[in-house]
Amino acid sequence: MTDRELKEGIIRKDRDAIRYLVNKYQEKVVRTAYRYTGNMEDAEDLSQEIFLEILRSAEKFRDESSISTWIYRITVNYSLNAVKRKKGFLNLFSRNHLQEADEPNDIRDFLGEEENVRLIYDSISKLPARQRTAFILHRFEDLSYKEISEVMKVSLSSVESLIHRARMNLYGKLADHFSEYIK
Amino acid sequence: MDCKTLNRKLPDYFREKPDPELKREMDKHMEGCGDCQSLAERMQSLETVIDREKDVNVNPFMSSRILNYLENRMAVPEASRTYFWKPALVTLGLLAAMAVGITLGSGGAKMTMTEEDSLDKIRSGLFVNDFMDENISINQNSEP
Repeated sequence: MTDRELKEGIIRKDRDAIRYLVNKYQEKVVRTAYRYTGNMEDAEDLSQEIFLEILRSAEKFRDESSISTWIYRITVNYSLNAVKRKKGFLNLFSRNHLQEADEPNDIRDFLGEEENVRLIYDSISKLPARQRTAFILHRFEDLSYKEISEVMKVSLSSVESLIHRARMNLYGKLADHFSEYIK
Repeated sequence: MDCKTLNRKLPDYFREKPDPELKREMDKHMEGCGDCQSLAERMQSLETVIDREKDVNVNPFMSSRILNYLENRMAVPEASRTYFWKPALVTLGLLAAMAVGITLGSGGAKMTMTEEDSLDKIRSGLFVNDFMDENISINQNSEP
């Protein structure tokens, strides 16, 4: 299904088109939301709202960018707003929260070191919004600078600069801790 | 290469494939600069941890969950419209009834006034005072 066919299907509220949309993009949406919220449960709740927003705003989508870019844009904006609404959202990603979590996709499965993960997300959450978004899309979602510039509607050089500053900020906050951990 | 340039180029040293010439220059600088070497090691450590954190397993039932949610929420606007219109219609009906009542009431009041006017006229014609003769007949044969 092409982007155009998908868009038209969504506008018509065609079930097959919606199913295709959800199946194709749900992982990207959930994963990206998770980078902002810091826990999977909130990311999943947020993803439902994001898809609803995608359906509602499909008519506004212009073919200037790909559907994927447009979905990332909605996801990023929604996630940033959700985090802003729920002040200290990521700070709730505390040791207690991790200890209570026991889902199979529990973040501890990836690292085994909950403290490290907490530190990463805590530090990412403290980055300025634009740096955070550029960093998340590049480092976790593997988007190219060009794709990020389209999602964020900024120039390529701005993306490069944002990612660099985000990295330097993170290194400053985390490097000491992680060099000890890795060694 | 100076420390400032290395600092600026270091993220690309790990994430992107740097220009071989640039990489050689950076390596050469770091061999003789403990601070930059230490910074590079820290960056490498952080990148390693982020790489491990990169893979997130999404709930396999997430698609169904989202589709159910969408189906429910997309049905809600219809229902909510009904919930909105019902009380709205009842309120409008009540207001219309009140308006009709007030109109009718005002009309009735006018009619009453008109009748009163006409009654006054009638009363003025039937005005009776103490000086007027009254046909009172007294029965002489009646006993107390």
